[in-house]
Amino acid sequence: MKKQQEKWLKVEIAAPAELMDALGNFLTEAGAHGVFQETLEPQSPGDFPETAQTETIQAYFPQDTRAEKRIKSVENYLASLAEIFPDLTKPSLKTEIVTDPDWGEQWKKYFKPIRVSGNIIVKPTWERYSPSSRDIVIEIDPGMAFGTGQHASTRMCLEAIEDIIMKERAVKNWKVLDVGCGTGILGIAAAKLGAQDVIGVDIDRKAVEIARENAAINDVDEHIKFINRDVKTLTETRNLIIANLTAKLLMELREHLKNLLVPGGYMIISGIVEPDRQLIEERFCAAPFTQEKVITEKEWVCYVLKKSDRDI
Amino acid sequence: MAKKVIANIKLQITAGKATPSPPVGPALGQHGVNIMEFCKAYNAMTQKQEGMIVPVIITVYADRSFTFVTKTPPASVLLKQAAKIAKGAADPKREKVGTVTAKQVQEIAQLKYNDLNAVDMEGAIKIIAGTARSMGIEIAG
Repeated sequence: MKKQQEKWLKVEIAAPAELMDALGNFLTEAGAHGVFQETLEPQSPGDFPETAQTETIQAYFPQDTRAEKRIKSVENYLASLAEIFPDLTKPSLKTEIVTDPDWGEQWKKYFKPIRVSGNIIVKPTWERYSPSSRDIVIEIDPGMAFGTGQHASTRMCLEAIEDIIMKERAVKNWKVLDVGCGTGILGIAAAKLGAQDVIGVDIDRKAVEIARENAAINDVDEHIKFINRDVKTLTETRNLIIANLTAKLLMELREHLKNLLVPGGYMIISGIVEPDRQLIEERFCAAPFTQEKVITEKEWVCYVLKKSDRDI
Repeated sequence: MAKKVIANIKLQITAGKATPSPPVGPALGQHGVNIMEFCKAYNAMTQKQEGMIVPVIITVYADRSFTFVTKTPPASVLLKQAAKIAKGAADPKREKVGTVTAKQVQEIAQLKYNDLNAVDMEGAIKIIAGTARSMGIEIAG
C-alpha cells in the first residue's frame, strides 16, 4: 500500500519583538500545536549575528481544507496589528507547503554506538561496531520512538536490568514486562540477557511496530511480544517489570503494576526527575516494596524495587 | 572548555504533551537534536502543569546535545486568564474581547520581567499593554 504523503502548511511571520507574544497566541488559537523562534549563533568570525529589528516566528498547520481560510485569517490579523501599531515595522508573512518532512532523521547522523552499562552496547543499525567477547550488543533503529540509550533514564534502566539478571542467576524463568516500550530497547536487553518471555506494551502503535522490527533485528523476536495496548488491560503476572515513564504515570499505574508483580519480583521505575523523588519514594519505597537500589544521573532518578515475598 | 552553541530555540508548547509532530519536529529536527529525547525530558519536567502553555528555551550544542530551561507562561496566556476569556480577537483593531485592569497588567509585567526585552519596569508594562491591545483586550484604569 502506498504511504500517504504527509503535508504541512508552514507559516512564518517576521515582526518586531514586541508582537511575538500576541502572534504566538494567535497562531496557537488558529490551530497550531505550538510555535517556535530560533536564533542561530554565528559559526565563524565573519558571520554577523541576526539583526534585532524583527524576529521570526514559525507555526505549522495540517495542510487540509481549512488551510486557505487559515492563511486569510492570519493576513487579516497582521493587517489589524499594522493599523494598531503604525510606527512599528509592518509584519510580513511567508507560507510554504512542506511535503513528507524528515524531521526525525537529521539527528541520526549523531547517534553512535554507546556503552550503556558494564556489558551492554547500544548501536544504531547503520553503524559498525566490533564487540569484545563479553559485549552484549543491542541494535536499534529508533524511527520516531523513544529509547536509544542516549537518554539517562534508558541507560539507568539498562544498568538495572543487567544488574538484576546477573545477580539472580538462580532465576531461570524471567517473565519480563516492559511498560511504554518505545523502541523496545529494554525488553530486547532483557531477552539478550537470557529472559525467555518478554512482553512490551505501548499505547503508541508506531512505537510497537518499531519495537517489533528491532526485536527481529536483534534475533530475539521469538522471546518477545510487543503489543499495542494499555498496560491496565494486562492481567498476567511477571517477575520483572520495567517502567520508564513519568512520575505522574507511575503514580497512576502503581496499584496495577503492584498487582502484576509476583511476590519476590523486581520492578525498575525510571523517567523520574529529581523534584518528584519524594512523591515517588512515599508511594513506591514502602510496603510491599523495598528499595534495592537508586541510580541517578544528572536530574534523573531510577529505582530498583523488590516486592515482599509475602503477598501483602 | 564550554561547548560550542549552534542555536537557541524558543518553543511554545503545551506542558506534558510534547510530541515529534510540529512544532517540536521542525524546530529541533533541523538542528540534529534527538526529538524523542527532548519530548521525554520536557514532558517529565512539565507534567504537573499539564494543559498550560509552558515556553522552553533550548540550547543546541555543536555535538547535538542540548539543554533547556522552562519559562513562565506567555503574557498572552496570563492576559486571557486575567480577562477571563478563552480567545483573543481575530481583528483586535475593531473587536474588543475583554478587559484587564492596569494593576493586572503591572502584575503580569512583574512576573514576565526577566523574559522581556525591557530596560525597566515601565518598559515591561508597555510591552504587556501592547500585547493586550494586540489581542483586543482593553485596559481599564
